[in-house]
Amino acid sequence: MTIGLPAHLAPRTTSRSFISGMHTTAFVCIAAAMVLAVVYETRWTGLIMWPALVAMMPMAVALALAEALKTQLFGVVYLVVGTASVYWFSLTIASQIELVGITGAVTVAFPKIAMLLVGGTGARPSSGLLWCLGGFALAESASAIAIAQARGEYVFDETTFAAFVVVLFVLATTLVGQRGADRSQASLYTAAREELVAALRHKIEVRAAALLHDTVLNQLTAISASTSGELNPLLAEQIRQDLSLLASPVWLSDTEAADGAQEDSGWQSTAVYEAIMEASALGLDVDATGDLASLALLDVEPSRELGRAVKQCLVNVLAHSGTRVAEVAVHSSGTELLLMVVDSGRGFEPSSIGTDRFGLRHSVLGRIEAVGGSGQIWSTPGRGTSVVLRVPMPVSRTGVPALRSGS
Amino acid sequence: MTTSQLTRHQLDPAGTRGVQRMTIVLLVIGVAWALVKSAFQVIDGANLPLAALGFAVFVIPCLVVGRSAGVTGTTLTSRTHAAVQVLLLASFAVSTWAGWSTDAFTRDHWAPMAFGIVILAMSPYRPPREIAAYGTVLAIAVGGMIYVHATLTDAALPARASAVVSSAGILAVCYGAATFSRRTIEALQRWQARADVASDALADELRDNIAQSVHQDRLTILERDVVPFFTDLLERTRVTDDDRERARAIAGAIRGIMVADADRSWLTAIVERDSRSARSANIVDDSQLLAAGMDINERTALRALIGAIDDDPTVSGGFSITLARDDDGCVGVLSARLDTSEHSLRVRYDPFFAVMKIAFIRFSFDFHHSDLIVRFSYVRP
Repeated sequence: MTIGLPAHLAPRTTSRSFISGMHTTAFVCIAAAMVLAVVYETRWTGLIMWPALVAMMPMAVALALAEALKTQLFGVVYLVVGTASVYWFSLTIASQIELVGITGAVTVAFPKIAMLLVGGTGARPSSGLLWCLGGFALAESASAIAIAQARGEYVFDETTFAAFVVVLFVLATTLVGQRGADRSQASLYTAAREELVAALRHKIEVRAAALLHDTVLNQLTAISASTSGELNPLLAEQIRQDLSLLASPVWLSDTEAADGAQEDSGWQSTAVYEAIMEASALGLDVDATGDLASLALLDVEPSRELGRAVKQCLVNVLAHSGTRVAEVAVHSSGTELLLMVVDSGRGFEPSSIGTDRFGLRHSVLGRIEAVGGSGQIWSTPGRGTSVVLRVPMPVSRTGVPALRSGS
Repeated sequence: MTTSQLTRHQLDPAGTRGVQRMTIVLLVIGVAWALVKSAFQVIDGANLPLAALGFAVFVIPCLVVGRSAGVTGTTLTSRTHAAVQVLLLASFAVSTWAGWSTDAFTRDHWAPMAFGIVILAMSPYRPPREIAAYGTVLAIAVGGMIYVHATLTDAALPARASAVVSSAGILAVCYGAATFSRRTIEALQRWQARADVASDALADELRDNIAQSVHQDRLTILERDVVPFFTDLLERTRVTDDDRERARAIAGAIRGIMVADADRSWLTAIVERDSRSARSANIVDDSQLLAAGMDINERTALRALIGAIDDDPTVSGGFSITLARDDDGCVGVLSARLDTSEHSLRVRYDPFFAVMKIAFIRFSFDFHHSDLIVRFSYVRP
């Protein structure tokens, strides 16, 4: 779904599309008139119908020009040429066939319908109504004069009249419908813009919540769990880093190339590698396996958020699992990168986690969802925990997933 | 969904709202044309019961298409479109049978123009390629039947001429309608591509300001409790029992704020923001946080409808929205009391209802004794 064309563009765009539709119908009518002339010429060999066939050719050319250029001049040219063609066609038909008792559909209606489908050039349906009316009046007049000149009897052409009425109704209802659409369109545009801002704010709030959890909440938890006495130097350093980070105005900004690919210098330059190294420094034995080179193919933002999510998973292993061994396994399908963090620690019951525990909710799952990925957690008490994170791989400029450059 | 499967109505439900009226008017013209011409056929000697049956069979697809055009009607699917074409052909076959013995039939049948009108009425609701393809098949079938009839009954006009006239009438309208839809869809897609670029630029422009705003919100909390505590601790370099207790209390307070933020959905936020002071009764019941499962189209459509209700002076006592799970996903119910007539309601809200109908997998509304109840369903990922 789109939110539609803006009010200032809708009338012109709708009008141009509508005129193209009318011209297509007119082309088919002209073609049908030509085929009819050929059928009559071949079926009734005594009749001379080829002038009717020839009469349609300049009309077809004028219509093609009116469709291609859609200017007022070529609209008028089509009406002038069309009037002459209708006259010529009607004169040929009326001088060869007795029209009384035969519907106009099989004689002179097709060129006349093509005339009333002139379309015009205005942006408003009201302008189209005038062009349509002009085309209908000229075609009917030209045809009536030709029939009279051929000493035929004029018969009311209900087919052309019905086509005229249908076109009038379509144009009139388009005019009325557009007025209603104008009113609602502005509200929809406002809603779409607000949605854009809300989505952007939500994404930044998720990042803020995750960062707040990874920094301040982690240090506060560490302090509350510590023993009285000297402040742990490592904890003191982390508190200093937090204070410095929180005071920074670029805390939540993505000014550093949020889009685009990372510099391709192998997986050792990725955020996931950094997360594993930091966890190793804290005493966790991490075994990284699988298609690690794929990590370097991620765009900057997904790579950074995946690294932070993995860091939080590994911190959770250290803090809660009771084991000091974890595995990080990577698999790439070309369109998606799948990363698993597995430990064989004490595990937990996922449903027992309170809503105020943000480690997995914000720092892991929220982050991954914010970059278009998804995450799942499997854990059973006594049987370890597996966290599966999926992030989309970048699509190359050719529209296909980027291929790996190496193993 | 590929470009060739898109319809004008799907891409621009609010903009094509006027089309609903046009569809109804066209169908009425088509039925009136068929009725009058059928009557003349009977006067010319056609079999009355069969002519009436042919007309009745023609009315059925008209009703199907007319119902699909409404805001609450069922969507016109490809299968329904095919069924409509089959019924049109069936009505033509019965009419052919009714007028078998009359030569006037081949020259003056109501079907080509009436069928063209039905195709024109359907065109906003089906992809242009499908409209052209199905219309071509129908035109060939009708032309073929007329050719056979004219050949077998030795009609006055050449059989090929009668076939060309009938087929061309249908083809002209269906190709014209398909061209109009295709050009409109292309224009909408071009505009959407430009709007996406503009949205990206706007997002880039807004990102830093929003980040600063969120940063400031967080700093307000942190500067009051956390920063003084951390600074003091770093200066003393010793942890006491009071520090541990204070750290626990600050962590609890921060978690409390984060829980409240997380439990406050986008829907709650906009209802609170949009509610004017006199409308403090606006309520969102979303205890399972199901609003988060709506996609961007669904959120935009509902946001626009809420905005329209909030701007409506005839709404009294506010409105309520309830979201709940059902077997297929989630179902939402919006209720409001409006001091207005059904006609005024439709004039004001039909564009928004049209967008809701396209955005959500199911949509309906009732308006009875001033009570408006809007129901919508969506699949939660």
